[in-house]
This record gives sequence, structure tokens and C-alpha cells, in this order.
Amino acid sequence: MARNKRYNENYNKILEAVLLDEKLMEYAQYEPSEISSLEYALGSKNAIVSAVATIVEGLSEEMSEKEIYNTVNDLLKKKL
Amino acid sequence: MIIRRIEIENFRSYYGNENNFEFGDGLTLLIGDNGDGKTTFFEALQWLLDISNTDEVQKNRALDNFSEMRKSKLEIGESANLRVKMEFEHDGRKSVEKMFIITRKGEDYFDVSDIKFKGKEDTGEERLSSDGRRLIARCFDAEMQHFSMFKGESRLDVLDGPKALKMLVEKYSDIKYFDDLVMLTSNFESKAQKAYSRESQNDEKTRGQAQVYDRELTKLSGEIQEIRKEIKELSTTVNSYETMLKDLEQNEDTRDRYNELAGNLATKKSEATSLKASIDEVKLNRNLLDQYWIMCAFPSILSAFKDKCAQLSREKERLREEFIFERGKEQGELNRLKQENEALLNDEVQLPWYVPDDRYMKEMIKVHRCKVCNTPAPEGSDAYNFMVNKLEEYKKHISERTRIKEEQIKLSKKQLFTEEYIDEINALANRLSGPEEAFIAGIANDINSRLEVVSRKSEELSRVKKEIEEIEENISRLLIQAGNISEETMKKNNSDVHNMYRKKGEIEKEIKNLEDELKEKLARQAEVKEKMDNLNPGNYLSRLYQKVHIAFDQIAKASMRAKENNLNNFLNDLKNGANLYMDRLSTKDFHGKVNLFYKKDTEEAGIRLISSNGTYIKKPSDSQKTVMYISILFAVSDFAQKKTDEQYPLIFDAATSSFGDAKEEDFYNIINDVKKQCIVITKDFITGGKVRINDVDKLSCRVYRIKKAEGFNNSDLSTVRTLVKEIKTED
Repeated sequence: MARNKRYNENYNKILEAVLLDEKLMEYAQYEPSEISSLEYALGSKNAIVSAVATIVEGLSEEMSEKEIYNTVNDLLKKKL
Repeated sequence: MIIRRIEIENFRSYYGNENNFEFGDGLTLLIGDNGDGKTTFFEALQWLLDISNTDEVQKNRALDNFSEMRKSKLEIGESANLRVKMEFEHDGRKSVEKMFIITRKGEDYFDVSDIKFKGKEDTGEERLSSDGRRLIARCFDAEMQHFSMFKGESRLDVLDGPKALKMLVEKYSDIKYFDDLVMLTSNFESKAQKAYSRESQNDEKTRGQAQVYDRELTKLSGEIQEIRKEIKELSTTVNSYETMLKDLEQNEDTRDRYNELAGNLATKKSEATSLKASIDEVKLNRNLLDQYWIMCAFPSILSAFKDKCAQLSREKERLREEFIFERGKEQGELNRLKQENEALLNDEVQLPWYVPDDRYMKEMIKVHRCKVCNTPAPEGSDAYNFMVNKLEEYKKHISERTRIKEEQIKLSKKQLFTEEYIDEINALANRLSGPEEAFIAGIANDINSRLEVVSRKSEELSRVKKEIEEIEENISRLLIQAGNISEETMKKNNSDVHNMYRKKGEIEKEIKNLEDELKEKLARQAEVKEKMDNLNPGNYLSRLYQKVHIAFDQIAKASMRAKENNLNNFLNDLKNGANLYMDRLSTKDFHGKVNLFYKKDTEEAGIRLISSNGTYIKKPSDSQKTVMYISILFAVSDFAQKKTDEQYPLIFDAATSSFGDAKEEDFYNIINDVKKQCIVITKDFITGGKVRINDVDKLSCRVYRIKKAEGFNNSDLSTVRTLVKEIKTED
């Protein structure tokens, strides 16, 4: 359990680091407040925020690359 | 993890089971001279911690590490342990022990038991046995060892090597696995780009241009892939060269020393050959020795002969003068006698010249008349008697004069040297002098000078031969110290180093060219992609795929930037931490500042030393570099402690060989104050084979002296044994 906790914290940090990228924020037009947690980002209406959150979640859950791509691809198609 | 005790039994030069070391929380120094067993200590620890090789491999190699001395003393049927044990603290007291039992089965045959790799854990309530391999993997894995154990100064740079930065970041940065995200999002971007390209080629409005872009992108993608593959392969080759070179550099000092000795040996051997040739060139042949050597004495004999001749001449002259003197004396004596005689005859007056002679006197007697005074002298008269007496006296006088005259004649005819021998000898001496003498003296000089040359060169040759023996002894000693390697291996290593440097340089140049080419291709790829994204598709689906691709592209780029930011933050923290240690470790010297840089192309980091005004210090001294690397290691160690709530020891073998005597003491006292467990194996504090005990006493840490036992044989490894002695306890 301890390892999973550290593992999730690590991915939260990854999510935060990517979403706080200024160029991405400028492109996707979102605010830092939308990325307070993985759960919050996953539910974001912003396509990019939720796409990034889905990728990171997929990584953290060790989903296959194809599975993550299809999920994110569908998400983007719906939201963009 | 804090190491508390290490026991080494029959591991190479560590003969027997009394080689024990205790360690405190701070610094422990193990000091020893070359060949005393410093590196063997380090390698014994590495051997214990090696969990990468299989049990079988370790068993096969066990005999290589078994003490030669112990091996030589084993009787047939007798057994001994090869064992290293480490006790440590890591969530409680623990220990690991690796052991093989070696049994002598025959003269040259030894049996090695299966490995015994035991772990023990003290939970506070009970003492549990466990598998040593698992315990090491849990408490001190290979990655942790990579940041804890350092062999030689060249291995201190933890950022050196292709995977070093990745390993460091994965282990200690705030965020792990960023690489996975970057790779994933990059692959997504590629997939989305292909999907968009497919759709745009179905779009009537963009089909033509999209096909052109797609073809170019496909071509570029293939080329980029090829270049990357090639760079990767070449980089792998360079890395393997670097690894091999590092291994070879480990023995750089030994190799340098060997080269120096081998150079000296070659010079001396050539000197010996040249001396032998010079001696052979001097023709001491039969002609010279059998026929002429006797001539050598001629000049001195001739000289002695001439001296003798001169001596004889002088003697002859002296005798001649003496003779003349004696003859003069005799002549004088005769004259005196004559005068006396005449005086007697003439009443002390010699008769005047006109006195009548014998015949006239007889005539006067006969005629009885003195014709001198013209007076008659009848017989019997005084005048007559006078004349008769005078005649008698006259006769006597004449007779005496005749005798004296005869004596005079005899005297005048008397000779001192009746033969001419001395003159002949002198003539001979004179004849032998001059050209003949010079000719023979020339031969004698030639012989003498040749004999002198031979004697001098022979002396020199014998000195050179002695020097050759000494150098050869030093070389054998050095080869034993270098792990009992053969001279061929040492020579091969030398040649390998040169070839490897050359080949590595060539490949690096090739990589650089490929990297430049890759940059161009990537730039063109980005340009084409951008153009593709800027197309204005006519149908909805194409526009949607375009948007999706752009979104994936943005996410991929943001992931890359985030990874780089994370890396930069980590390097920045590491740099700041290292600089704090730099200040502490080098208070008295100029030490500069650590600067860490990141090479994006190769994803490698490097360390540089800069001055506070920002100037890059191009050639820092070895000791500056060592302090710099050790500062970084301390900073890494802080990260480790922060991340894992555990300390890890830092173990250095010969890390401070570039330090001068003055720096050693300060440096070690500061390290001791840092309060990190450091085990430093060094030849510091040893001068001329002896420990500078006064300097050691000034240290506040525990110090062990490791030393070869006296009486070893230079060429016999089974006589070499390391003795361990604690010479200073911790203050």
C-alpha cells in the first residue's frame, strides 16, 4: 500500500508538472485551478486537461499504450 | 544503512580469520601503501555485495579469490573458509555473509562447496535468518551501491555515463517515470499525425499537398529512425569503450609505473647490449694477446735498462775521475821521489844541466883532470875521489831515474777500463730507443688501452646488469600488486588503451556528424508537420483529426518541457547542495562553484567547475575535481536520506590520491564533521612506507593500518599477507 501511495503521489506530480506548462495552458486556455488533483482534472471540461489526466491515470494504472491512446483519442474527438 | 563491522576471511591477501573492521557513524580511514591490500578490501566488499552473478558463476570464481597463502598451507583433505561478512543497521541490526568452503583434494586440485549466502535480521524481538541475496537487494541494491562505492578518483563522477543521469533522477528526483510519459505522448503524437495524414489525403481540398507532406514525412521519419538507430549503436560502442577504458584507467598509476619501468628496462638492456658490443669490438685476439702482450713490458724494461746504462756511465765517469786523481797522486809521488833523489845526489842541489855525463866523467877520471874547473885530479886526490864518487852517485842517480822513468812509462800506460762493454751497452740502449721504442710502446699502449676499455666496460656492464635485475624485480612486484597479472596482459592493456582512445575518438566524431544530420532532419520534420497542421481541410473529419493531432502534439511537447524542468530543478537542487559541501570541504583553497549542465541531445548531464564570476575553469586540478565530485556525492547522499529516510555509507578506494599532505588532515577532519558514514581507503598519511603517526593523531576519526606482513617473497603470491591493525580509535 505504501508503494502505491508513493506511486500515485508521483503521478500527481507529473500531472501537475505537465499541466502547469505555460505554453500548454496558453494553447488549451485553462487555469491552474482546474488541475488541483487527478480526479479533478479527469472531470475537467477542458479537453486537454482531461486528456493529460487520462494519460497520466493510464500510466499510473499500467494500462497498455494502445488502450490509453484509444481512450484519449476518443476523448479528444468528443471534446474538440 | 550504516555498516558496523566487516570480517574478511581468506580473501586473497586477507589470510586467516582475524581481519575485522569496526565502523562508527562518521569517517573511518583504512590506510595502506601500494600493494598492502587496500583495493582488495574494497573488492572483498564488492564480492560480498555481488548479487548479479548466479551462484554457479560465483562458485566457479571462488578459487580465484581464495587466499594463496591459505591455499599453500592446506593439507590434502583439509578445508578452509573463503568468507566475507558485513553487519549493518538498516531498520534494525542485520548481517549478510557470503561463504565458500574450499577443500584440498590433491596436490593441485581443490573442491569448492556450494555458496552459503546468509542473511540475518534482528527485529528486536527475534533474530530471523534470511537469504543474503534478498537482504542485499532490499537494503543495498546495485543502484544504491553505484552511488555509495567508488573505486579510484575517476569513478567519483556520478553523472558520468549514458544512464547515470537517468538513474540519478529516477532514484532521487521528486518525480519518477517522466520518461515513460514523454515516450507515450510522443508515440501518441505520431499515431495522431498518421491518422490525420490519412484523413487529409482523403480530403479533396488538401489531398495533393497532404500527399506531398506525407511522403516527405514518411521519408524523414525513416531517415530519422535510421540515424537514431545508428547513433544508438555507435553510442553503445563508445560506452563500452568508456567502460573498458575506465577499468583500464583504474590501473592507470600501475600502468604508468609499469611503462616507466619497462622504458627504463629497455634503455638499460640497450645499454647492456651496446656495452657488450663495445667489449666484443675490442679485439683481444690471439695475435694481440699471445704475441704482443709480452711487449707491454718492453717500454718499462727499456726504461729501466737505460737507467742502468746511465747509472753505469755515471759510475764509469766517477771511477775514471777517481782514477785520474789517483794517477795524478801517484805521479806527484814519483816526482817528489825524483826530486828527493836528485837532492840527495847533489847535496840537496840537483846537478845543473852542464854537469858532465857518464862518458865525460869517465874521461875526466881517466885523464886525471877535472875539465869542469880545468884543474888536475891525480888518482887518490880529493878531486879524483870526488869525481869517482860523483860518477858512482851519477850512475846510481841514472839508474834511479831510469827506474822512475820506467815507472812513469808504466804509470802512463795504466788504464782503468780495458774493455768497451759500457759503451756498447749504452750504444745498445740508444739503438733501442727512438723509432723502435716508439713502435713497441705503441703496441703496448694499444694493448693497455684495450685492456683498460674492456675492464671499464665490464664494470659498467656489471652495474647495468644489476640495475636490470632491480628493474625486473620491481616489475614483478608491480605485476603482483596489480592482481598477479602477466606482463603480456599489462602490455596488451597499454596497447588497448591507445587503440580504444583512437577508435572512441573516431566513433565520437561520426556520432557528432550524425547528430548534426539528425538535428536538420528533425527541424525539417517539425517544419513539414507544422505545414501539415496549417492545411485547411475541406471536410469535418479531416479537421477533427487535425485538431486531435495538434492536441497530442501540444501534450507531447508539454510533457517534454515538464520533464526537462523537473530535471533542471533536480540538477539545481543538487548543484546548490553540492556547493554547500564545496564550501565546507575547501575552506582554505580556491574551490570554485559546481555547475551542472544538461545536454538535451544525448540526455546526459555533466559537471563543471566555474569561478564565482561565471568563468568556466577549463582544467581544474585533480584535487579540485575530487573535492567537487565528493561534494556532489554528499549532496546525492542527502537526497537519498531525504527520499528513503535511510543513510547510506560512502566508500572510497583511493579517491584522494591527488591530495597533497597538507590537504589530507583538514579534508578528513571536515568529512568526519559532516556526519555521514564514510569509509576511505587511502595511502594518505604514509611517507616512505611509514605512517606519519603524528599527523594521524591529529585526526578525530578511527584509523586502521593495513599492511603487508614482512618477509614476503616478491615473486610468490602465497607469501603475501595483509595484516590489519587499528592504530587510532574514534575521538
